[in-house]
Amino acid sequence: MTGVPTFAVVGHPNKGKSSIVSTLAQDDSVRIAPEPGTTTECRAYPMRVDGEVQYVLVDTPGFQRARRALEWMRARETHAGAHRAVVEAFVAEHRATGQFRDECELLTPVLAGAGILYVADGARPYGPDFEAEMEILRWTGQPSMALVNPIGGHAHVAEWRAALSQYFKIVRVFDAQAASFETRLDLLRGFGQLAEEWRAPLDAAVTAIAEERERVHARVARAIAELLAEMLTFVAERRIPVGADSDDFRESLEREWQDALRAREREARRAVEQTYGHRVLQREERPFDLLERDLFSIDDWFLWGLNRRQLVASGAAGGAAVGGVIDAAAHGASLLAGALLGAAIGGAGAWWSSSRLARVRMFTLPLGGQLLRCGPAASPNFPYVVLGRALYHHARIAGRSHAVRSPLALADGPGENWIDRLSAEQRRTLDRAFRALRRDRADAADELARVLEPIVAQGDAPTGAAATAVAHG
Amino acid sequence: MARIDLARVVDLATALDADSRGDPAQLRQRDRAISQKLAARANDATARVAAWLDALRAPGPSAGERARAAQRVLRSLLVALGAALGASTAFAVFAYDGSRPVNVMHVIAVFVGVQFVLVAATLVLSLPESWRRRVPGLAALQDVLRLASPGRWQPALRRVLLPAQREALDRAIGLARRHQRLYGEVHKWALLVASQMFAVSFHAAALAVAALLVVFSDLAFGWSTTLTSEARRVHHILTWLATPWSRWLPEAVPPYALVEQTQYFRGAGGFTGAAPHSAAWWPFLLACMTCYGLAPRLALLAFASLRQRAALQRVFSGMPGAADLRDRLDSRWIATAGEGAEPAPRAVPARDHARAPRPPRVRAVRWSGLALGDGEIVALVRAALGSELAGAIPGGAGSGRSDAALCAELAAAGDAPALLVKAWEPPLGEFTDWLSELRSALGARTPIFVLPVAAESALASGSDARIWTRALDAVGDPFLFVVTTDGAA
Repeated sequence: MTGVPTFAVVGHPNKGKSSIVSTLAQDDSVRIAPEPGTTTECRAYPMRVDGEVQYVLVDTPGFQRARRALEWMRARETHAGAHRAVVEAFVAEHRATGQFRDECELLTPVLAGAGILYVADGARPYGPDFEAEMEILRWTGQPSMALVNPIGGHAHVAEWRAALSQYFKIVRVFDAQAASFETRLDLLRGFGQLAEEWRAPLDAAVTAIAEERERVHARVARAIAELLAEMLTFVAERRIPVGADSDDFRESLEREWQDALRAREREARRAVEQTYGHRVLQREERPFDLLERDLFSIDDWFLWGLNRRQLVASGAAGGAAVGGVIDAAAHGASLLAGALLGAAIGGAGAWWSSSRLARVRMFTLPLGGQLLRCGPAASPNFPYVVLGRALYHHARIAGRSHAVRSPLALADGPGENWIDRLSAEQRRTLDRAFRALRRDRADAADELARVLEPIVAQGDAPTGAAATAVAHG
Repeated sequence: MARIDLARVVDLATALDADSRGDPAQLRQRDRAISQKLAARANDATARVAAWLDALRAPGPSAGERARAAQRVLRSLLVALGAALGASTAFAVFAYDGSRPVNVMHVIAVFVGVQFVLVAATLVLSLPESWRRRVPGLAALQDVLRLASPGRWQPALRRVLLPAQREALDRAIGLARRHQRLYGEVHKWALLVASQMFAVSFHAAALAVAALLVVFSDLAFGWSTTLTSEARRVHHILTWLATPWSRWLPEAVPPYALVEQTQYFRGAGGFTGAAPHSAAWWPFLLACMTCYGLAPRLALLAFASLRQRAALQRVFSGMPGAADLRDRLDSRWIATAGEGAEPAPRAVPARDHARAPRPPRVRAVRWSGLALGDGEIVALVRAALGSELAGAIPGGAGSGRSDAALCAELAAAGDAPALLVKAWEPPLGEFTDWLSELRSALGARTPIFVLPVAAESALASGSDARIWTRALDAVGDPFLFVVTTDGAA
């Protein structure tokens, strides 16, 4: 076997071959449908690093006439050493006739040297009608591995393992819809075990994919930092005629300000989805989905951002720092009264301003006329709310397999407050970064992106169960 | 480090704006390919981005070059205006018709006094953005001063631009407005550069006119002011003004005698003709105009240009999408997606299964090893079709010959066949092939019933039922009926 390692994903129709390809190739354009025969032609998914192909996955049509095909082959069987030649003769004879179109199509890459990844559905019972196709694959003599893809549950996984181990040296359970990133890498590494000469290229490919994932975290951190920078500094302005009542414009300007921020949040979500290669993701817009609840639904803010205790603590810490400067200036003569008073004022201020969105203010222009300005967002909790929503969305996208075709439903809450998972140092750094953003410092977004990178990576921590490998010698 | 100007910034912003709507995977592929051909050093990010821009460059002038050309036209107009105003002012201040000398005080007031005020205003405008929030009233003062800045006159001059230049300039201004946080500094320094160019041309022209008048006409100088009549006090002030050049240009420092001799008063008998050496004022006046008018403006122009360049450099590396571009250029391109597009699925027209016949007897076939007892088959057939069971035979698990024999047996029996299949397995080509053989054996109008049976020995429902129904609809046999709990046969 020479050339680029190639793996043909084969099996019965509707057993999740395309799901596995979609997950491993991180390509959500793969057609996955309940109807059998959705895949009618082989489609290659080359993994490239800087244009150089490292390995190729080939999605194939399912076996349609395996029993008849095997019958044809058995009629021409002479001895075990000629099995492969019989399969080649089968493909050669039937390619033009179209009688065994699917079998010819799926056997072509295998006979060209591809490793076999045989896929079975662990949620459906095993039956002897699968044996014809497994036998044909065995006749090709290619290295092979069986993957049990429990599409709808694990009810028959053990039964399948027992049967598959009769035909394949390696049997693994791989849930294409729920597999974590690490599980996917682990499976790819497993492909390298099929042939000695495939191990090095597969290991190199896995390393490249893992490095790329780290860069994806950096890209997402940048996207979220840019989002925060814009949302914390955005102001909506409108010139109003001299003498006009500002109240007539106040409400519509506030609405315009909020709509712009909502649109910006949606744009950032799309960017994150695209960064993870989810190009055709649909979103289920249900009123009970948390992320579809309004950004400005202040009742939900404590779900996403700082809770009251954290808000007061944050405000008090800021106030104490300012008061501490006064104490220092007094050389301690104030007996820490400055820090205590500052903490009290800061904490109380944070409490009272926690639900304040943005101020609408009127300015008189130098050459006449008036300017009504809404924003920027005033609440100390607002950046945490925006960040909490963005991180939750990111975690759902990062953990979503490309094989999942259902709309992105975000009904489950973020659970434990994400802020509690941050270290004290991370909290302090975030506070500093938000203050810099509010001051409109030019490099504040870059600095925040650096702070966010490990937090984003934390949100992409493995959650799925690792694939189980059962090796049979 | 590559030099970044307005054209580069506008071109990069335009390119990144277009890229923001592109497919990230394609952009990654394109940019990585460009990056591998770039000669610029990997550690000079600015140079690499500039080289990337060059690689993407389309033939003809770019939007940035048009914007830069427009800016040059506007600045040239400002320079011309400044020169015209400077020359006119010099002609007015140095006007001498023999009736009254050129008042030295006027020259000092216009080319020194006013300049102190204007330079101070420029310095206030150039204070850092963060000071606007810290110093009370500074924001309002800067806003008012900006209104008087000659740089602000540029929009009024844009009518002279070519349409393409105007469009490019408007696009650049639109960008600056959209990303105020980023472009604020560039805007500020660009305004100050334009203002200083105006001021430099004003002073240069004034100086040139003054020199020409000195050379080509006979000027008489004197001084007159209401504030003081003491020549010594005036001499003291003038000596202080001449301090910067007094060491190396002593002839440009007015001696006390000249100050005393050239004082004049208006009114009858006030000016009786030029003092003998009144022309000796000119070196001092030209030195004043150079030192307090032209030189500070040249210095401010250089400072504002440097700050503008630094601000452009920051914008170039910090604009939205720039970090992503550097990432695309410097990190390996990893692609895993499929080649080509998925073939479109075949559309299957849905059939109406409602008017299926109810035969009194059917003969059941347990397809592909379906494990069902006779009692279960009887119950299923009765529930699904209301028919009696004539018999049940296995099929679909042996050779092609045995499947053919089954067709013959069913045709000979004369009862409509009811094919019991595993609902959880989709219909395969093998099964539909055999259905065609069976149809040939039975004739065109004998009904064939397919009963997908779920694992719990009940008729299929849900997605399994839909899969069977849709797949067998594709066969196009009007007397082939799929019986599920979702739709009666």
